Amino acid sequence: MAALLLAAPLAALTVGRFPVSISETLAALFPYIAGGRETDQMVRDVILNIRLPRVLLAMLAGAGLGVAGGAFQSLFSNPLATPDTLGVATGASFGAVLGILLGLPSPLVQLSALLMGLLSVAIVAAVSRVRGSSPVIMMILAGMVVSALFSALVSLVKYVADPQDVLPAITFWLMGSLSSATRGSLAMGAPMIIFGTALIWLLRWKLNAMTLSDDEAASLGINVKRIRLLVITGAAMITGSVVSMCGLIGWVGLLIPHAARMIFGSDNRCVVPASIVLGALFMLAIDTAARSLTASEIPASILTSVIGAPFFILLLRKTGGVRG
Amino acid sequence: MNFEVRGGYFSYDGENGSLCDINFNVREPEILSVLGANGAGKTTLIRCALGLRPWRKGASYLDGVDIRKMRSGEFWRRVGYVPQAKLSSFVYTVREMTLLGRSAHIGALGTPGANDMKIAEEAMELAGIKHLADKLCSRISGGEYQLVMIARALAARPSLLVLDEPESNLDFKNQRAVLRVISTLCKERGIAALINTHYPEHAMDISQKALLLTARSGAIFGAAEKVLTEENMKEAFDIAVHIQRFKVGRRSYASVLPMDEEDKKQTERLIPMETRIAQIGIIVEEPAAVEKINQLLHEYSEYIIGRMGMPYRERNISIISLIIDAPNEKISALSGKLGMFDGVSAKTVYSKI
Repeated sequence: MAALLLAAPLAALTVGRFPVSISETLAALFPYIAGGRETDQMVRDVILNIRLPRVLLAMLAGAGLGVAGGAFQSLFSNPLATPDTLGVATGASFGAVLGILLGLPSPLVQLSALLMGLLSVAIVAAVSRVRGSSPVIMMILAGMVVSALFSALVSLVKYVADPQDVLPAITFWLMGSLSSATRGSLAMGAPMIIFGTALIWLLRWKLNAMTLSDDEAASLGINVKRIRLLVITGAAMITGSVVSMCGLIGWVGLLIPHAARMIFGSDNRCVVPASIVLGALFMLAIDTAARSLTASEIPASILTSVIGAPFFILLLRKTGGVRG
Repeated sequence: MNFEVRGGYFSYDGENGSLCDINFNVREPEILSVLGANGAGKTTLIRCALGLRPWRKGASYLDGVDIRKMRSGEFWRRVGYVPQAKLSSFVYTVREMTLLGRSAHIGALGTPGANDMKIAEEAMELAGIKHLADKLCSRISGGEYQLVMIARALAARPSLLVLDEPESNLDFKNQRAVLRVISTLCKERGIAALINTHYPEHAMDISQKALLLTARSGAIFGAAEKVLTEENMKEAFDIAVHIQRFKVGRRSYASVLPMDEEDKKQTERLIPMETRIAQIGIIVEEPAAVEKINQLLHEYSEYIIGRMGMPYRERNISIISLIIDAPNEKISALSGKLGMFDGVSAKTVYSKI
């Protein structure tokens, strides 16, 4: 598994319209180990500034979305939950399209998306509060409402956007793409994804208890409110950050944790690490295909469904939905 | 360990108290059964008692300490809760489920270690489900799943086990299995149990104390045999009840029969001191018992109107036939006592009038 995690990105780095060999890639990545062999400046640029950020972003986004989706599914004890259940992704898209509409530079668009994503969770948390606690059903309903509200706002922005140049930019952004990945955007977004993922990874065993009813979890000595708050914070940071960098990428957050469960069972001690690995590899494959299959870039969310659906069906047929 | 509720009061709408002035205590190794009609608030009582829902008035105490003043982790290390079994959306194996019982002993960011695994294995062993450890909870029977829930609670190593209708929805055999596990645990491990149940028989069978929730006279708490009387149960369940006590082998049982008012009256008419004629046939296979039988019959001599004894030497047994004219009660008492002697079989035939 670890070898695959190293080999896959390496292979992905060599793929693309500009041909680069494995040895050239390695030399560009590790100039000191390569024994001082001078690499072409052009190759270095392609590898380090264009492909490497993109490969890293794909892996981080996939891992993050997989973990966040799995965490929400456990938290709400609902197999249909996705990272967007609490409206983070829709909130973040609104932030982004608003930024695009206002013609902000891309770091500010990213920031606006991130803040809106976190704001939407805060709204959900506030709305769902009933007498000091937030029942799961209230949170899910509040998430749907906030999500609907923000998607209406997204439509509003699209409606007023200039159909000549701004609207296509918005539409393309909404379909999801990793093409905007740069070292700068990664530096801003990656720490939040890594932090959120680490937080959920630490809480992975407690997630098992969170799938039980509140009373049951409490009777196991779990501080339900605190764990729920921590998991939601982690997942919101991941999702907000991913959406702010790559737009809306559907399916990964729903599909990856289920695939992990079908292979390893429902114990989140396995599901969380498996989602990280599977998510990273899956997104890497999707993005590599997206940027190299055709001359122009294919939106990621189209490919996640086109590639993801058959893969998921295959897994479903093979395992019968559950392990063992 | 002493778990106590004093002056517990709870109502959903704030006016009509569904639980009024609840007082009880249970200490190891006692079993306390909570009984009451549907909607009397048995589950609410458990949830309030455990602090999962706040009492409107009154409080629960563990060893004299108000549980609201305890850290929740500390409380749940000493109290194991077995809710009504229902599967969650994600299915774990029996081992994974049992291991969750260790949660109260493991910090928020921790995962179970080797010691926790060992304790979970022991808990499965205690509940008698170790052979199912690697099965998925969805692939085992309802009775087995209930035992998994018990194992999960035991994994916390509690000194009080609280069970919400553990034997509901189970068949005879599984009911027995669950009750046996509970009473064995209390006897052998010296833990206390608080059980909600719909079955007065089960309460009489395994518990020393009972709490009966009635509509009018509030909650009745005390020793099981004092609380679970025909009158109290009629009050609680709003239906006439007949308790039949009997022995099978050496073990005594009580059967609680709900009946219509009409039938109950008829039974009552039968039971009083009406006298009847009965013939008791006795076969004595143990010669030593003959002496004891003679003594016993002497006590009943005023009722005995005829007696025939016939030794059957080839097989070294005696056959006795006894005719008796006595109140119903006396007849059944005598035949019961005769049946309890070793090597003695007795059967009674009653006259119609």
